[in-house]
Amino acid sequence: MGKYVLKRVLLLIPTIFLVCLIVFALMRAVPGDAVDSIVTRMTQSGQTVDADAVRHKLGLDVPAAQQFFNWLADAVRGNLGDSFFQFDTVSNIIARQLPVSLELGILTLIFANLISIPLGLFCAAKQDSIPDYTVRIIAVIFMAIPVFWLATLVLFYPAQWWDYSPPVQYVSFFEDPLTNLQMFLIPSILGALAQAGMQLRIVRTMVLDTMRQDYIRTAYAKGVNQTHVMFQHAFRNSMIPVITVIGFSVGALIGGNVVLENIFNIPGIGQLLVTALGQRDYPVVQGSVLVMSIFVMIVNLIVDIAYKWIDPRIKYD
Amino acid sequence: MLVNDLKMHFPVTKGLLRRQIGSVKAVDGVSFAVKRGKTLGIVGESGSGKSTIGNCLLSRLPITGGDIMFEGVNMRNIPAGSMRKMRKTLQMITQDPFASLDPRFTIRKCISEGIEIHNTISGKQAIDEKVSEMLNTVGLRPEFADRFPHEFSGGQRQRISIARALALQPSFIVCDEVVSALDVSIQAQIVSLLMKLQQEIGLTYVFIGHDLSVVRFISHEVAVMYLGKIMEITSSDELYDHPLHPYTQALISAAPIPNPDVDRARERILLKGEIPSPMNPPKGCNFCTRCPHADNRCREEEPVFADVGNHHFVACHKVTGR
Amino acid sequence: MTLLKDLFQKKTLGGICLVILIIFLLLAIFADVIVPTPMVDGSLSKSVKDSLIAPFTNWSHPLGTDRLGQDLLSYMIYGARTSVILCVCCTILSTIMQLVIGVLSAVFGGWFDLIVQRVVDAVGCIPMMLLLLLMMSMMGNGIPQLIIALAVPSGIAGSRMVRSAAISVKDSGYCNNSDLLGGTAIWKSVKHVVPNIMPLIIINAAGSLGSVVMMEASMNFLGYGVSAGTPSWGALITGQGREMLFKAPWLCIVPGLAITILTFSACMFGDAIRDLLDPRLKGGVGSYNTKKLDKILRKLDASSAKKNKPNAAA
Repeated sequence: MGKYVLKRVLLLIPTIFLVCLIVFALMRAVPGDAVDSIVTRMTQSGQTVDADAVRHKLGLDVPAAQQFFNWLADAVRGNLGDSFFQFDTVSNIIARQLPVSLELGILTLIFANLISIPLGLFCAAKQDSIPDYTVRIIAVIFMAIPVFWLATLVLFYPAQWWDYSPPVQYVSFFEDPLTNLQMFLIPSILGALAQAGMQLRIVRTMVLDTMRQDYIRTAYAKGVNQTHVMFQHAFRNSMIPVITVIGFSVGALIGGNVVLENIFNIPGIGQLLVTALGQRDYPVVQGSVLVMSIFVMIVNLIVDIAYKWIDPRIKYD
Repeated sequence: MLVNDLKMHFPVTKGLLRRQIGSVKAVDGVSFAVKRGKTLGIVGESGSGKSTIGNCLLSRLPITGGDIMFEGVNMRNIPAGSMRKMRKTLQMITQDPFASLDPRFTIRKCISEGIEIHNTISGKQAIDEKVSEMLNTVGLRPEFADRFPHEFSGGQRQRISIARALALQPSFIVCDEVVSALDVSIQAQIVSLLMKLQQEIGLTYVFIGHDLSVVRFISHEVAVMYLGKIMEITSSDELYDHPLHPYTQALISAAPIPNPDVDRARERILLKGEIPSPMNPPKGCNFCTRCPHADNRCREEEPVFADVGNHHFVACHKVTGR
Repeated sequence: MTLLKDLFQKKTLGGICLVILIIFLLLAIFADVIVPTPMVDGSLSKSVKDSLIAPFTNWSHPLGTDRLGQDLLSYMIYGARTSVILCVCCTILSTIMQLVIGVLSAVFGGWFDLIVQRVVDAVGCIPMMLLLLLMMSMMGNGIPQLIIALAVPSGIAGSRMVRSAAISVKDSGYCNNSDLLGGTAIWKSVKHVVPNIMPLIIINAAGSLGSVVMMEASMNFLGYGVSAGTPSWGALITGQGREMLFKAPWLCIVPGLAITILTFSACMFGDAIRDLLDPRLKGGVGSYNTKKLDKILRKLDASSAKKNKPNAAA
């Protein structure tokens, strides 16, 4: 077990290096750079600047390979550099914005599970009946609705009809929990719909899959009733793969909520990235993608290890 | 085919750095000869290294030591490309008739796969004829060619495997537990088929199995393996009538005899314990941990594999002492 | 063909969804012939006096018009063409990438596999949306760029599943036998591995059809997507749709519904295909209908109860 974990952790190192390389290469391939954008901005505000001086100040006057290794060497020491545009270090910016994304992601997951697990079990119990079909079709519809479209409608029409709109100014949970939750409620439910649709189908499939096993047949043959079989045998055993799937979607939920963060004006990592990308703020983009990727890697690793720990049949390789 | 001091050791590694901490001596110094047109049977418990020998003979494993001479060619560490060409003459039939046929291939494609790989026959019609001929040879109807493997029973599939191996017109076939997965009645059919083919085409077999009666039935010579070493090798009648090695005696006494009176009357030699781990075989004679006659010499000194007359080779102190 | 028959007989809804997908496909192919007002020089005719006609009020513009007086139905059909092109190209490109990377990695193994898998891991753990944004801002807007940005990451990340399936085929008895017959790695891949993992490939491809439309629309919303002027449902929602929510709600609702319908059909079709091709879920060996069993058990209970009654009376 310990050896397996160690091996997995060691394998993360080349993966992280590759993530850095990919992100760095993509970022440098983006046309136009921060210098242009700074020069334009300052010229517009009436100042005269020397592009080369700016370039030198940002450390962009050395070859790309050298920039990469400089950045990498700093990153290894925990220094992700300074933002070109915000007067702050990248680490501070991420530390400020990542928890916001995390909160949105966790709330989304909570709602998704509240919807999907009971409904998934219900569908499995009523396999191939009209209620089962109805719930599953609704689940697919939830997956098929573009979230930004639904969000736009949900933001606009209640405001139009009942004069209600969620707060648009972000406040931390610790300052004002009520306003904070009010702000996150609608986006997290919207995000949860698609996630719930996906999870529901997996819960249903996995429960049905477990129901086909011999030990379930034995349980039936012993005279155990269906409810007991569902909860004592099928549910428990089918939850393991479901948890894995949930674990693997954490990355998408936290890094992929760019759209919802944008619409509801939530200052999370997604919004940070979109802004930074527009400004060509290299350190911020590189730093935030790196942090997100490492986060996803760690979640995946934990899920993998937990999976192997829960299910005794799985061997370490 | 001549096999001289064949060794196949699998390294056992530990830790992240793949430090080698030992090796499994699956086959450790095995020598034998198979004459053209004859059958050598190899028997032994599971884990005795008999299947490893089969794979070594076809160069499917990088041999650790020793030589394999086949028709004047040393096949040790022969380049992969020329080995691939050698496959035309060296074939193998494997144990599991359910896994060895691609479920998406028709029987025709299964049988002609080798022909297509080596381009031995060109032209669709010629290949089709060859397939029908092969099906006939193994006693299946040529109309079966367009069916899929899942439509056949285990015995039929094994016949198809034989047809597939024969399609390349090999002269040497390793039969690795070919009948172990089949019903007894089907086993007899397959073994008879193999023997018939040998008589007709003059094939050479190495027949690997753990069922003594089947091996005796088909083989001209039988080698008994234990823990990667050959304990005894001689003609099959001699082996079954006068087993000299204690292990062989135990094996033969354990096999049922289809006559209840004889079966009840004879003395049984029951072996105690399990086959030791091939990672650290016992010092001295490999069999000493379970041998009823073992003494100190057996535990200290490795017995020599020697002819005791009548072309009968045994590796045992007790026997050579006689 | 039997697959199609099964689709309509056993998975009627999936069959209907296939029909819907085909309708979208036909709309895309014959857009120029079908639309009420075809494009001239790559743009729809605009007239200020016709602007913002509500749907179903004017029969020359069945779905109404937008602020510029463009016919919404025509715009939607041309938008369908954009969506279909993206769907088809992305799915083909990413499927080929998955297949090539996954199979080669499985068949060659060793160092090659180890290195390729690190790259796959790396791409797989960067959140998809972030990767898309990066690639789109690198390449700029446009349909080919969008195809590459959508297909390449999913092609690389999705190869992992193909690889594990290919490994299990490679280790199977028949692949070993092909080796015995003298088959090379290429021979084995082409003749045995690829045909045997085809069901998985088809399932993957069918499953990814829907996400492409959705991703394209989301990218449009963030300002990255097809180039300006290309008709696209996502662009319509993001642009005029959101601005005119109050005055012309149909400009937002119609394209949104279109995206939903297309994605829904693709999803349902993918599901149906998976159910038909995945033997684990098929009604064959190992499948087990719990409802049926329940019924049988209940019947048994009832009959044993009946039998016991006279005994008890006696």
